[in-house]
Amino acid sequence: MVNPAYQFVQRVCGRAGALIAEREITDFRPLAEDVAFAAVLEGRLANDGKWGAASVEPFFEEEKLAGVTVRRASQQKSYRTAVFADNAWAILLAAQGMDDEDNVEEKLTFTWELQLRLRDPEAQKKRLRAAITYAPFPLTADTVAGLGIAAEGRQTDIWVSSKLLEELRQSAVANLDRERAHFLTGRLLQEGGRGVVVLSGSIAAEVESGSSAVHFGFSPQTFAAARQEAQRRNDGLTVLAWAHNHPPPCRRDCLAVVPACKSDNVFFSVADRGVHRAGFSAPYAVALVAGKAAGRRADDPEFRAYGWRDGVIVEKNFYTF
Amino acid sequence: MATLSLEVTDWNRSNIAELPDVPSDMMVRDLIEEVEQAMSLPRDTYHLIAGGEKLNRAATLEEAGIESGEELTIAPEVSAGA
Repeated sequence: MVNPAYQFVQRVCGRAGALIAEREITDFRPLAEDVAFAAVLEGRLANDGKWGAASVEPFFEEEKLAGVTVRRASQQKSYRTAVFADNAWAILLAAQGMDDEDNVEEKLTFTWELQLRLRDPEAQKKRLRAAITYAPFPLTADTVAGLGIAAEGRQTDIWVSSKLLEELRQSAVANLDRERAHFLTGRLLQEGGRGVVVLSGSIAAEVESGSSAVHFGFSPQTFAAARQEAQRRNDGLTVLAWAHNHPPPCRRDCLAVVPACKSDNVFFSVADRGVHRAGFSAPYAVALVAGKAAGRRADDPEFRAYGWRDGVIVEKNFYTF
Repeated sequence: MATLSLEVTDWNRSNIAELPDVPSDMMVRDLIEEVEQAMSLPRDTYHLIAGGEKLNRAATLEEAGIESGEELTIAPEVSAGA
């Protein structure tokens, strides 16, 4: 229970201000984990998982709801309403029955706002009792240098082994007409007050999954099978990330275009953000996207990395080793 | 109506929910909503898995063959897309 008294409802309205759809925001987990992870990295909280549940309180500016303050153990952090912008897109897409391909940005101008509503106390009384145990963050005692990585002044939160990147590159090149996805395994380090992810292994997302040229579907069993495979390997690596490719719009015909065109298909779509929010809400979780970049051939894909920063999914730089 | 004691873990075992008094005639979809709420997960995205099989949301726990002490997994059904 994040707030027993209030519901936070996100309302998406059209150009004329008419309500298109609204939905209660329930996934405060990325924020709750962000509060704990930042405190652990800065030594304000022990990495023992004994943080308890988070509480979420509204804060106001000029009598208007401006954001939420998330409290966990003795820690707290405030987030402006902009952290929920991704949700607005997802609500809109669901309400309109559209997907990313429909390019809703061009078709619709919309606004969104967060509203506070009182909860029904009677409904709360009927909830089941639930005690949650939180696992510590999978931080290891390794260091970037200790893993043999020559940082040479390069600053990043994400290192990817050359071997793994080559494996993902080959997968993207072999699948110019179909999306493929992998769970990525590695080590989570604590360096200079930051969390650093070092990725070196992969598990193909194959169990009960489905794909086309424009989507990759993860079933619950896909996730469960990845966890089981990571446990079976027992190689000291943890699932910390996922990767997938975006085939070019003209599929394999793309290779016949000389010189390579200016289309760029390496981005993190609304649907991709939904996968990251639902399956990879840990503050250190990373996503890699491979695809055709402007001026490059489809068989020479570019990779971009995305991850959490202060509760928002942003593009991040990464280096190989 | 029996009462079940269940443990639900998320797919990467970062959260474990202990639910000591779950009615056996509870619908699977209602249990999912309870766990989503307890773990602060997005709505309408998750399913429960038992023994490697996705549970039918429209079944009761009894109909789904869930017994007390069983460990269930909650995991999302989501699609990435270009």
